[in-house]
Amino acid sequence: MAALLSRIALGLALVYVASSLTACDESIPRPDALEETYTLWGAFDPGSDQQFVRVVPITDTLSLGSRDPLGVDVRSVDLTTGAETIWRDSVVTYPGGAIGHVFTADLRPNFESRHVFRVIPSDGGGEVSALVPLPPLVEPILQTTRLTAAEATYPLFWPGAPQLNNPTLTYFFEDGNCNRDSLQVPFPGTSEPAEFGWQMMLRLDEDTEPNAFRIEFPTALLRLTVRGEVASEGWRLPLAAANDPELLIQPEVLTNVENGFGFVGSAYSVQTSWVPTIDELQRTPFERPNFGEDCTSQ
Amino acid sequence: MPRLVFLCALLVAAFVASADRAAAQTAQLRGFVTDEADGQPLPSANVALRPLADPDALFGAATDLDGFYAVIGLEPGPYAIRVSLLGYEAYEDTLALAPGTRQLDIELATAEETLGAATVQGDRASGAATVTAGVQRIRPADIRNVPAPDVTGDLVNYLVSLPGIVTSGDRGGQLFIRGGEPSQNLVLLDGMPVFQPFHVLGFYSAFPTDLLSSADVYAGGYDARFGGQLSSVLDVTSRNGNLREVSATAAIAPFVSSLSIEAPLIPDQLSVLASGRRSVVDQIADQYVSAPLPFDFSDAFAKLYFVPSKNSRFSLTGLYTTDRGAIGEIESDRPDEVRYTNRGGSFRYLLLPAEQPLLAEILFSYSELATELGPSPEQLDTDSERDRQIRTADLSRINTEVNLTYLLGVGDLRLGAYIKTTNVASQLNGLFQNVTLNQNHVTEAGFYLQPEFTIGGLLLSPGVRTTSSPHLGQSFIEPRFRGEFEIGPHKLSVAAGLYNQPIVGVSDRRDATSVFTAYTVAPDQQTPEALHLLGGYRLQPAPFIDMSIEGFYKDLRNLSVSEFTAVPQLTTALEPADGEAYGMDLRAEARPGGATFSATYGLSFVDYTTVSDRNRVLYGDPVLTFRPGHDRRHQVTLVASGPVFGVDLSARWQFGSGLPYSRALGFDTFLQPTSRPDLFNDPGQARVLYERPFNGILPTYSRLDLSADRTFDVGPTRLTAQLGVINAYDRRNLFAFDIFTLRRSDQLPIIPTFGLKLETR
Repeated sequence: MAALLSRIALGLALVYVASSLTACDESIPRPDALEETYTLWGAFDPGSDQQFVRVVPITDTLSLGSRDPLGVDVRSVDLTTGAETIWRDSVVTYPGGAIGHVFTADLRPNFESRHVFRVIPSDGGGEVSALVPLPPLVEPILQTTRLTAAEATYPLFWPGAPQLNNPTLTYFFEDGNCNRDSLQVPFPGTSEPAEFGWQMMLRLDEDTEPNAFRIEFPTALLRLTVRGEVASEGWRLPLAAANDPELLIQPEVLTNVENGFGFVGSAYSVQTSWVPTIDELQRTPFERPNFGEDCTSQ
Repeated sequence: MPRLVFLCALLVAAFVASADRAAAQTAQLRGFVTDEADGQPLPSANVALRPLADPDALFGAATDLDGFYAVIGLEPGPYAIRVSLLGYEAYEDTLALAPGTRQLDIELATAEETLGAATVQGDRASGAATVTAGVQRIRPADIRNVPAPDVTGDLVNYLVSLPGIVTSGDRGGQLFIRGGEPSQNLVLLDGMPVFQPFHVLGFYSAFPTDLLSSADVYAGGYDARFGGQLSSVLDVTSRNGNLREVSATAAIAPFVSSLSIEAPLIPDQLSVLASGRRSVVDQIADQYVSAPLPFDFSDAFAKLYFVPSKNSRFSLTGLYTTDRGAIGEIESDRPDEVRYTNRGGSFRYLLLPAEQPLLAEILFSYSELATELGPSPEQLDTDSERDRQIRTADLSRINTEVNLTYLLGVGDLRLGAYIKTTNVASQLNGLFQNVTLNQNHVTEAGFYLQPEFTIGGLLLSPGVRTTSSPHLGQSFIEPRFRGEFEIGPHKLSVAAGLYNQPIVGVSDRRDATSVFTAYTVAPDQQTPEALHLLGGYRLQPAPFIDMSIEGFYKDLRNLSVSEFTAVPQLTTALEPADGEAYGMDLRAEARPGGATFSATYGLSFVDYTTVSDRNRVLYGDPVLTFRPGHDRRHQVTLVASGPVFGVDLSARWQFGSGLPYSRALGFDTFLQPTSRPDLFNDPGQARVLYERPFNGILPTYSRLDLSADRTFDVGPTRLTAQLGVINAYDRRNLFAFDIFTLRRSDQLPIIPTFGLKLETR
């Protein structure tokens, strides 16, 4: 019995020693601190006298944000002229309670100018910056319509446009009783970079499905308007991410921020409209204007 | 497939014909070995026959879980028979065998006076180190060696001591066996599947020790009788009710109280065993434990056992369990609650046809699992919570199978057929974004064949299992193999097999607290499959010492894993993955005197691999390989138990290396960069800045549990009192770490426990 007791005591002592050795490692090791400290979102607009960029601090935990000042000095430098602009913080409370810091500057950047947007922490931390090139002024050109027996294709060229974001097409309709309506849809044709600019192709044909327009036929097509945002060259999504929101959200997928995340680009909206000819309309499911009552007097 | 069926039929016919021929010309002895005290079947008893004319010759068999034995191919004549089992008086007699079949049922009496060192030191068919090609048999005595927070003990409290079994912690009831997911384990109780048998509080399952006859753990490479699951089989056999006298047990402890009764309804023929347990966490443990314990569970079990004749048995088993608990951030304002209920019943008929060297088993079972995740009913009563969603997942199965064992001179021929229909239904409310789960049912049918040849110390058992399903439009042919070679104290074993799992469990393993699993039918041609390879060596250098080493490899295909996304959300999309798990177990057990010491070490490597264009964008390579959250690399368990001055002491120390998790480096806000952002109206989307998936390692785990039991005879009853302590050195073991808030949920702190158990003698 004594031998047994001594064995058990020895076993327990060994267990205690082993457990004491392992008991010191209860905490969860923190990962190395990120070099990136801020995430920036915004777009310089050469068509506006005021510019806005949101500065998001990178935090250790998930939070709604804080109204406290960020403790940063935010400024931008026009690399073309050397002019420096000081940005001021404005705290925004969004629906749902999230709080954002949107920095504002009275600035109208020139087309094709280049700017550096800088966030300088007042505690001496690393500067976060983004290089923001502005696109040239672009006037879209409706090229010669291509007609075949059953379709009309409109080529639209945007000379010098480095990137065209969020293109839309608006149809303007008129029914047989002179009621007018419009429908805006994401641009249904091709839209892609081309040599010396950006090329769009819009095709209308006899087989175009009327139901897609959510209006009753017969109806006349009065006008087509294409809108888009001419954007800086870096604002180009990787192909795999364009249609994958889960991928698009990943920090590495689209960023031009040094020592941070996010994207500060530049963009302005441009639109162009045209009236399809009778010849073109004959190749579509649409009627020509005034196909019902005479609407010209209204 | 038709060719395979034909070949199998031919093989079976040849075996049956040879068995019949052999039976007609020779003698066979068969029967059941039971406990004299209560009529319980006694498995693993050795039945040895020596011809009186040739005392050097020896024929023998061991009893199975029903206490059944058969020795066939004997020359007619006089024999000396000896039936022995550890802890029982040996039965010895002489008998004359004539050509044909003779049934001899034997009752063994408990060896009260020899229950000491000499008996306990002997060879055992179970124990921490007694594993053969992935199979380990667990007996109630093994479970009682491990300290538990109540007197009765529970199977799961022992299972978590085994190398290769990783748990989610002391709550949630999730067991990962050699790299497999919990939904890939097949758990059977008397042939009935139990889909979530582990209670929400990790010490307890639907299998309290007092109800068990034995439990076989197949950690891989299981034979052709089992199928439909990828990872492992836990085959639990319950005790039968006492056929001789009424007995009852009542117990209470800080977490659970229990009551069971067993009685002969017709002495020696029909018995009943009924048991119920109810958690008393609220009433007792919560009163003195500082940590929140929002757990509530119960289980009820009943079994009717009937012996209508010498050569048949049948049993009816019923099980009902309920669980309810908050698993994740218990201290948060609105913790989600998981609730699950198992219901099931099985009918089992065992038949020994006269004059046939055959054992036939007919099984019919129904089992269902209903799971809910969401706010508690009390929370839903408040207006502010009514909008919160409840997610549900239901799974049910009807199973019918016939299992036959032809007893041959050089082994057995095991074969069987089955048909089962599984119903799945769920309401997930977008929990898995790209998975449409709704009501579905799948019928599968098939057969298996697993002959077992024994030549000297060599056992070879090739097998095949086939499955066809009109609903799936698929057929599976799964080869299996098992081999053992024993010489002296050495035993080598190997096992291999191919496994498919048409009904898959879907869970979000990004979150350790996510115990909610929905079940669905695997998509076409994407049925998860696994190849298992195992090899082991076991050594018994002395009758009271067992040592073993076993290596395993599992190749896993068509798994589903949660997609990694920077959105901090509880919903997830799933993507396909392959994986592999490999490692080894080292085990040793010594039983000097009345004590038992065991040490086990498990080494495991689990990798999952996904291939996608998204990986290429995120990580620069379309192939992403990562360690899943249950890949515990090292696991050590030490157990010591033994009587000291009439007190049964036991201690268990466990150590586990840290589990992988996906580290968050920080959080920011994301705005869609597809056009100019609306900075004053669009708050954006919260975003997690991750490293690569599962790139961090959580702290190690270690715990010491102690208990001391003393039994007193009090009149016609026996009282067992227990004192114990869980987590004796109050280690802060992590259960879950919320990377969104940096808040940790720890497992149970140091908890002193006490228990009482009163049983009739």
